[in-house]
Amino acid sequence: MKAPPFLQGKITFENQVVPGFAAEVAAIPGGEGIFECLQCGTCSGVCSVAPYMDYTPRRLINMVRAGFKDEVLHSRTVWLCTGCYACAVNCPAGIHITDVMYALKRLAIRNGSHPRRFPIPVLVSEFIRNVRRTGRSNEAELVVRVAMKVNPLRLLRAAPTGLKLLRTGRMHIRGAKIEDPRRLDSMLESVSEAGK
Amino acid sequence: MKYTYYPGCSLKGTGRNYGESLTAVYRALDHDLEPLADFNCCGFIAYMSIDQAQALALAARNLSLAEQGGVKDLLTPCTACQVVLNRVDDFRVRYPKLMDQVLGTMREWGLEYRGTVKIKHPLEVLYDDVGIEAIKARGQGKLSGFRVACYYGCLYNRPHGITEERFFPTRMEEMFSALGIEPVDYHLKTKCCGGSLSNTVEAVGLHSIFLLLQGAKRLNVDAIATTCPLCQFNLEAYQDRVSSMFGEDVRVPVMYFSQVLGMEFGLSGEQLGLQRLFVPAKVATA
Ligand code: SF4
Ligand code: SF4
Repeated sequence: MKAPPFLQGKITFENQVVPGFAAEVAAIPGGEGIFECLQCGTCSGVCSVAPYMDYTPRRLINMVRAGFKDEVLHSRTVWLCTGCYACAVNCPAGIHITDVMYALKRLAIRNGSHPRRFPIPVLVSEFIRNVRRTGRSNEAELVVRVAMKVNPLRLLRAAPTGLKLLRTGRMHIRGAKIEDPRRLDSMLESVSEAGK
Repeated sequence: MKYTYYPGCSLKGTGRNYGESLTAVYRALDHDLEPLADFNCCGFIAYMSIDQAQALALAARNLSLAEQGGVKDLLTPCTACQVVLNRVDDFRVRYPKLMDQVLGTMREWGLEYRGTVKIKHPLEVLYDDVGIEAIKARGQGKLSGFRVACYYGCLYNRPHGITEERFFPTRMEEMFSALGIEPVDYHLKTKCCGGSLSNTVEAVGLHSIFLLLQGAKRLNVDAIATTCPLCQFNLEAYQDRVSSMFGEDVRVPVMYFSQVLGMEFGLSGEQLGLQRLFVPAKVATA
């Protein structure tokens, strides 16, 4: 049953939580520690992007345990996490929180539930296309492609920086390649199959 | 001695002057620095959010190339690359099954990796292996009194590296002090620069950058010295934007630690890639 309109989006009812979610996350490398979380809040305290998150890392971990799958996979938190490891090196329970964040990003993408038009998933997929094609990443191409997809007006704003980079010889229009990118690409494909 | 380094994508692009200055500084101390041949993308943070096995394989291929070339210490100037490459050994211990699958498949493609390569930051190698004494002996007193905020960024010692130094690394300060350069007490030195957020969620990324620059600027520094090309770019490239956005002038030169060392050694601006900086440092160089 859906919540009455005035409560929608504010409260999650018992019948909307997914109890198996915690086990699903715990089964992923990095996730095994979540049941040990003390809810001490150290992770949130040391996280430099916590003030901008919708749920702090401590809260997110408890939400995973409580089965708030939808909220967790739609959250900005997992995408704002920069992977700085401040939380992970300080957690008294030894939880690899950064790995959990990566795991949640993968789940959110697989689930198609990352926030719409949020630039980070776009950046990630463009980045990977780049690497699979050449074996390297080309920063200039990446910035342009992401901007085109997210907000082309950004290109105008980024133009002065781009020009400065060109002038100082710090940008290459044509990206570098490894010797045999096709072979690397095929290998990545088979590694991915094996590592499923 | 000859060292091999892993340039990663940014030392071939925006961080070009990092590679140039490192090579020049190592040369000035009688060590050769050569890039790893045919390296590929390290597998960056972003890759981990799509495909874990592939991300690990990308990192492992580089390690395999290094191992096959007889490299023991792979110098890795980019701290993000450093974390990603280190993750291979970390995961071998924590998730042996996953890593056996990844490395086993790679072996079928002719890429063996037995785990003999150590990832080291070039600053660590200068401090530990070359030694402060040798560095001090090379100093020329050119930067005495030059005030520097030593900024290591988040990943320099996390999650690997020396435990005591995860939040308070001091190698750069010690080295600079020995040379008569003045490191200031920069409390934000391991706070994250926001990484790729400056390019994606600007509101968050640019705010992080502003806080870091403001912290340094208020300490009245001549420059910020960095150990990571992502940090350097973030702190340097957005200075005009954040200054006007937050209504405070936080413009300040942001250099690589190797450029600061090189200036002190009396190397030319050209050798150190100083002409590639957006905000030139005001010092009396040769
Ligand atoms: S620091 Fe660790 S134990 Fe404490 S709240 Fe965060 S995850 Fe839980
Ligand atoms: S790794 Fe992510 S969650 Fe942890 S402190 Fe850094 S930004 Fe915050």
